[in-house]
Amino acid sequence: MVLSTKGYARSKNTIITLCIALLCFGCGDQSSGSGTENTYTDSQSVQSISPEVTDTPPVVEVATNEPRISKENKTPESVITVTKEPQPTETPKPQPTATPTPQPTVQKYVTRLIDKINHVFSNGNIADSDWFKGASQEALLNPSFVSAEKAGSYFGDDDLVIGIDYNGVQKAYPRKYLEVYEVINDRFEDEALLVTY
Amino acid sequence: MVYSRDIRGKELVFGHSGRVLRNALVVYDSDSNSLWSQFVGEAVQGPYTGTKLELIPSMMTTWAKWKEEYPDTLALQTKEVSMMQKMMQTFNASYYTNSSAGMQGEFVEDDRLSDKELVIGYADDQNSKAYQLSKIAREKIINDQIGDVPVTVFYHSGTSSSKLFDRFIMGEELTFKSKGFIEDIEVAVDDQTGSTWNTLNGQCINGTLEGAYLQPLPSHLSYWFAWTDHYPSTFLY
Repeated sequence: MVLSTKGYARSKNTIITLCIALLCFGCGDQSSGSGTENTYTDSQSVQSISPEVTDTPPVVEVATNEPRISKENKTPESVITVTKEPQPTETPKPQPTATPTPQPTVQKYVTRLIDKINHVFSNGNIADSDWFKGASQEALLNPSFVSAEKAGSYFGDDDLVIGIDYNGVQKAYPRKYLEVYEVINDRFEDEALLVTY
Repeated sequence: MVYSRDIRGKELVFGHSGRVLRNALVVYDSDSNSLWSQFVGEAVQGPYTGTKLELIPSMMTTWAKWKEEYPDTLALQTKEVSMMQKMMQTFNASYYTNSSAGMQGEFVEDDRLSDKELVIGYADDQNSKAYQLSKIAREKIINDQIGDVPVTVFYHSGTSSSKLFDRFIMGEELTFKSKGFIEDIEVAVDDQTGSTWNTLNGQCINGTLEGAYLQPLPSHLSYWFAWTDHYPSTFLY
């Protein structure tokens, strides 16, 4: 849930500063600066970004820990550079220039990058570019429960739990554990419930 | 957030989509691969777009308090988590105490409250309204109206939690006052019938309406910045 949003919060300003720095770097390396490389229209942006989002439906298996990189690898190189940027998981400072791309196109990527970031922070309606790709994790299906006396190490007296009292059944889920699994497909008597955090 | 997984007679199974929308988790269902925003409980992409999941009341409190209120409770069986997952937990621990607003930053700036103020939010198709948790704790009980819906907000100090209920019951609109504790149960009394109500579960425990339950309204605990990101036109009590 939003409360749990991973700790790697990064400010908009940091990213923009980083991009401006990259842009300057790009300009400096390329004294002749060809105009065609710089032109980058909105329609191009939509074309390159949207197929990546719409043609990559989530993998169907639920309880697997498989990161969905295989599909991303198939996308064109340019798209990878663009979509990689807002992915804070293990790379706090993504460096698009580190990808083995020919120098003349650096500026194009940087422009695209800024465009992408503007989309992400644009506070617009729900558009493809609003998606923020993070790490895939495991979801739980039909979890097991124990009585209160047998509760495990996550159930310290002061530990926060999400409590549900529904259909005559009461269950508690430790917040710290939900931070890891986030999605639990559970059941309260006849009713199937989704517990998320 | 807890939702019903039964949609139009079909039981959906959800998994991580690996995406985040406005700082909120995005899940997908294995039936249609639609993407659902966890915060608003609505499909935002795919065949189910626009479909809403029914929000089930839940609360966040400490294990000791929960166990005391519900001694028969079940506890999720947990297993060892990986090193990577442990690191994530450590990251999160600092997130609750610092002032940063989500990993994408906030989308809508709303200075009526500070970003990380905790609120209880209610939203239906027409209106959304947030109640500052600390304010509910001070007032104990709030009788309010959200659009056409007469609501009462109960604070339960035993679990430091709050719930919204529909004040309209048995053809009558009731207004409630806090009456402290009766035999360790935190109670409210309504002005119309003088009945006594349990503020934790909305059950009438004494009086002419004894045995009746107030209808709990879908509401959930959230940070203010997250609430306004998803419900920018929200009212604030």
